Amino acid sequence: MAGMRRGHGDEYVRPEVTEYGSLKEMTNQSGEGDAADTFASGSP
Amino acid sequence: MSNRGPVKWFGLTPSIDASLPGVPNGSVAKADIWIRESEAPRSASEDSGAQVSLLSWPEVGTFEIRNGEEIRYDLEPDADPVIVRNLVLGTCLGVALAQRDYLVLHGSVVDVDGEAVAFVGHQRAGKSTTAAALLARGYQLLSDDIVAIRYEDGRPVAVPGFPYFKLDPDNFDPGTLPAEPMDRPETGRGKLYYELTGEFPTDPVPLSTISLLDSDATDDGEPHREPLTGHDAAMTLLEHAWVARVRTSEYVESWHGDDELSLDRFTRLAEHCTVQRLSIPHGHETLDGLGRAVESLLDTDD
Repeated sequence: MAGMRRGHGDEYVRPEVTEYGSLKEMTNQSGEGDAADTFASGSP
Repeated sequence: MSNRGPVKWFGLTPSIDASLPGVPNGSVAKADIWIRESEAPRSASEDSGAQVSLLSWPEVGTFEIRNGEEIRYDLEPDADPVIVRNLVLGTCLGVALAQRDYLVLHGSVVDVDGEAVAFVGHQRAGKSTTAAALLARGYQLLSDDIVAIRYEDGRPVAVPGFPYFKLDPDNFDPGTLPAEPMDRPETGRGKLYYELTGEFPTDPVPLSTISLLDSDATDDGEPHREPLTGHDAAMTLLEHAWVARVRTSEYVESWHGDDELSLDRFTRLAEHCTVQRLSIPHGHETLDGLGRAVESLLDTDD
């Protein structure tokens, strides 16, 4: 988890690579249509 | 929901000074969390000790979540009120709960014989559908989309959310469920929200199982169950943490506050409940049929 932790008041910097890979890859598994549905449904 | 008495969402009393279609509004003096539409949210730098997340969606608006106590937003002129409702009840509320130190997973959770059984998974994995299937089998839905976990006496409990859930009626007929459909976004996109009829629980339920839904893991057309332990279990839970989903998203403008993504928290959670991968083949024609398949996997004791 090195590089992901922040303290109060720090500007957020999106993590790119962690010890277990890219969080972005892990959390974006679908195409644009799914993403639009997810957004409209209020899911993260 | 107006006939249910005082409203509790995840154990919190909301005060809603906003128009969210299908959701009763009203100011509450001693609320735990305030939801309001207002002028442009404050800058996070205004209060350096605060936990403040600023989220912004084009054509909808900017939402500020502060200290787990307030969600307020400034909308674009033509924002779809149903999407606004969905974002408040979904992404924003999940962030607020995380700010309040709940351990929040993206999934659904059902009371199965006095034990909370949660389902996590990627988009389209079937989290909401699985919960609806168990609802069709007569079990109590505790929460859809947001799994909010606290510890009581050292044990994890799932806190009931609100009586809303999502389902795509094109996939399954919701006709037998004890629920009424709510408004759908004008675009027609997104699953349809339903509101449960009847009583909705407020007491936390001991969390026994968290299942990762993974339909790709079956190659013989049969349902499977695979226990996950140790690091694999903790990483699975972390991967599906609400904050892990939100903070890498394009809509995050700023994020100030403590970080709940400590692997230790998820390791501890994994030590207190069963974590497993469930592979349930597609092809069930009814929610009841799917519910029976899920039940058969939950009954496995090994």
